[in-house]
Amino acid sequence: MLRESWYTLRRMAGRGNAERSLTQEIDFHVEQLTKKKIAEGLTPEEAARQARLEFGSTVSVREEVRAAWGIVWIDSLWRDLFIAFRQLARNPAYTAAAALTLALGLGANIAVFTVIHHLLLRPLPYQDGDRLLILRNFDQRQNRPSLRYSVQELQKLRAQSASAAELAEHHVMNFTLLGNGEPETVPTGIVSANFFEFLGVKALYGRTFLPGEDQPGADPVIVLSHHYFQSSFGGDPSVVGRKLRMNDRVHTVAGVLPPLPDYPAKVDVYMPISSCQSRSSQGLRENRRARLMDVFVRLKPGVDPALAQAEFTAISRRQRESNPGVYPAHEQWGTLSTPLLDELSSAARPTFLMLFAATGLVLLIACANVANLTISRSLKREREIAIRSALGASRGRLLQQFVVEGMLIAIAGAAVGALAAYATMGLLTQFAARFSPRAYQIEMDSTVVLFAFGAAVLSAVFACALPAWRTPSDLTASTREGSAAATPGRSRSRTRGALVCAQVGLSAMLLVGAGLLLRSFVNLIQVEAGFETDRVLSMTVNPNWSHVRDAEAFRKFFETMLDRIRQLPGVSSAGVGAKVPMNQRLPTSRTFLIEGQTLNPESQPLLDLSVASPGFFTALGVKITSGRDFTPADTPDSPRVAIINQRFAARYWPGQDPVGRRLSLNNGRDWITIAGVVGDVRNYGLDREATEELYLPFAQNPAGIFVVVRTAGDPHAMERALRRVVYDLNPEQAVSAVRTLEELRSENLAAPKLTTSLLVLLAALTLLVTVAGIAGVAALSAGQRKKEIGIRIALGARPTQVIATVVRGELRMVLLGLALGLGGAVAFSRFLSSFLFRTAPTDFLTLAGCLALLLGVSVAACVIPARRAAIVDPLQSLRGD
Amino acid sequence: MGKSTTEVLQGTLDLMILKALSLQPMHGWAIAQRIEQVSAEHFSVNQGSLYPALHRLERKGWIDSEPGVAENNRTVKVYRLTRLGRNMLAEEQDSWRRNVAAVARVLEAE
Repeated sequence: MLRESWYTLRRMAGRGNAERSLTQEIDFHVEQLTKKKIAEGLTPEEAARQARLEFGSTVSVREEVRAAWGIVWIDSLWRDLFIAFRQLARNPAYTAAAALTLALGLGANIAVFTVIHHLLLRPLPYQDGDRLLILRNFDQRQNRPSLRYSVQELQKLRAQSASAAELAEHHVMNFTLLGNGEPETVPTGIVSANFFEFLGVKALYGRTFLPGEDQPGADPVIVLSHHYFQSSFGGDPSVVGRKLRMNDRVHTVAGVLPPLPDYPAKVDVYMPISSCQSRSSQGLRENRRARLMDVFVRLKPGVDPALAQAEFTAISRRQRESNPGVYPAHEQWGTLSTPLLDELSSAARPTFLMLFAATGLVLLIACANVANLTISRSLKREREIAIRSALGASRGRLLQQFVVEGMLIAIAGAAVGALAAYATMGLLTQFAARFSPRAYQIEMDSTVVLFAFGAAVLSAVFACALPAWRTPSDLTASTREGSAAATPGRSRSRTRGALVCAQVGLSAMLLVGAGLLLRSFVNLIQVEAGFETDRVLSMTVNPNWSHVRDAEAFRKFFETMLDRIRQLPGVSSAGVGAKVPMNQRLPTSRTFLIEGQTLNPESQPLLDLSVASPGFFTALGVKITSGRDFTPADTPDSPRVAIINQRFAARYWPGQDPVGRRLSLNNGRDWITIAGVVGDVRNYGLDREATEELYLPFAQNPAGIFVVVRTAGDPHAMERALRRVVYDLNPEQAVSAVRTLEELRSENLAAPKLTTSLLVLLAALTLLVTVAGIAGVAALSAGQRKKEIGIRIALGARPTQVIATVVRGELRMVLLGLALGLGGAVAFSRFLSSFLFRTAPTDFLTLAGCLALLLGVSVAACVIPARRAAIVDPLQSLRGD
Repeated sequence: MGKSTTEVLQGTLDLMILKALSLQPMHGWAIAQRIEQVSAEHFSVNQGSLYPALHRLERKGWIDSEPGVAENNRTVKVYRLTRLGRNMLAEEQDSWRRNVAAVARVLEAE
């Protein structure tokens, strides 16, 4: 077998040689035979004739020899390719239309598949990634966000779990890094020494942490993340061994990491827990409520994740039972373990699966459209096909011919589509990065190429080959009729009608989906966010803990800074707070008491704690609706006051003014008087309702690092001056995240905006394709009925009547398609509901608008070609053909 | 009937080619002459059908070929029996003899 394939290959490679040597053999043989006959006494002519007779047909001998070479099918493939090229070149309009339509469908799918492949399908770049879990505390009854772990809880877990092979911890702190240009705030991952070994990550340069480097007294070392290494050290490996100062301690750079997902958080630097003073402090180690650590577990091989989950839950239950003071009885804390792969991709999954469904629809529509083009074209080729089949081409051979033609078109389409996808990959990667830390891995690799090829083959078969293929009985009929002007075969026009119907239906679904997202997006940008974004700058000032050592220093530092900022020309107000809108991850949830009210613990009486200084609300443009704002008269020594938002007020004092009422955050030891009520602010994203919020005055509760400044002119023009104020106060103080609120707002809107734009773009392009398809079918059937139209007009029918008869069939299919598409859209739109903001999946206006649009353009696409056929001179169309 | 004859013939033709080449390497024309002589024109086939058979045998690896020089300096393929071909010929000859003997016994048994 092997030898025979080798032989075939050699013959193919040396094709010219083999052919030449065969010719020599045969010629020589015939010559010798002729000579022999002459020697026997025949005349040269007679000898040549007899030699030919005796030898047999040289043509068929050659054919048989070639068959023995085993390359016949390759021969016929070459022939088919040649014929296909010629056929396609002869009909450039069809070829270009089909290839471009498929390019749209295939390109969209290739682009979205590339993202899905790298975000959702590929294994994690960690060792045994499928056995890694992240653990969270979560309340089984109440709808509170899940919590991280405290040191005590982590230690119990480490001591008691039998199913975990290894545990690792991680949390983020911001430190000021000195020794590399301007002081810089670096988000730092505080990890156990085994963290990188646990993930199976090796250092790119230097090393990661050694066992024991997280123990008290170890030498301070840090590891740089790849992006920080690139951006701040220019990718120079000599950074390994350099000393950098972070908060009073000199740390040695031990190594640099390779590119990795920004997970669990995007940090610049990693340090072992012993280097972090707060993590090592006794207070943190003993406080069971200080839950700030992410805990990761590698399961022992073969451990069932469900059993492990049960074990973790049991450990957490034992801890609750032995510490009743820390875990209130009405809270039912359990443990939630999530596979790391889900954790890294869960945010991206719905969006990209939805986009994949949409691009799937686009490809179906494109295929239906090309199928219709192919049918129209094959009608014109019927005689060619019939003759070839009469001359002995088998059905298989004909099908092979159509598949080859289809493959040429589809591969051209896939190539154009892949190029377009490649061109948009940068944009798409940025988009994907909003959903998953794995986006940096996105590239068009061999799997993507394989996917593109597979999709191209399927499109070739369904859009090009099958529609062109005719059964022998069709062919006999068409040769007998002998004329292209004959009425189209009924089964074919039925197929065309069904394809139009399918295109309209699928387009309707896509259009409705895009319409719903668009309407939802319009609702989102019109939402009342509760703050003004015009000319407001926010910046983050993470205090340098070496200089700001206690709460009093913290208060003084910020109050001095704000005083100086307010004196800058062009600043109209400034304040500091614990939150800046749309820059938050999770709301806090604090229990509290209200004087004179008994709160039902079952109803989740939790508040979201905030801090604001005087000027904070003014700078943000948040309205005081009752009572007063904080003033400089609120000092650490004045009576304790708070401001609540309207939502909070409406829940606990419905219809009353809460100003002057009191509440407590520490179980009744201290009481705080409500001084005012402010409007609700959507702190956690425009699509999230405001929480029940309580603001404490910064002076009485110095916490919060977000400075907001309202300016008279361009806010960014103030940036230098603001930084100078900070550096004048302390040259070793870092300033970060200087953004206008408008920028934060567009950042928040970017993901829905891009999703919506993508879907609207796809819907618009497919609408174009569909309309072109309908118009093509209508023009073809009007063209085929030219004679009939001529007769009708000659007999006195008015053009409008004629048009109506001609387009009736197509219109029926359009209407049927619309009805089916509407049904499909309603059936599937509930899958969209998680993407919709204040828009029902069956929003009447959207549905009606989309259907009206589709109906309008479809009718136009039917009527215009028919009208053109109806206004021709009847004599001309009767005479023609 | 006709079909089975050609099948027999094809097998026989292969065998005759191998037998001819077992004497010495030779080109197509020489093989044809040799077969004609030996079979005393019992098998009159189109001489052209020799070539598909040769190429088939070459593909199977029973014979191989190299360019050679024939009468009046013509370049032409010269075929040669391979070791595999020699073994196959011996095997085929054996089975042929066994078949002939068996058929003879059947026909002569009375």
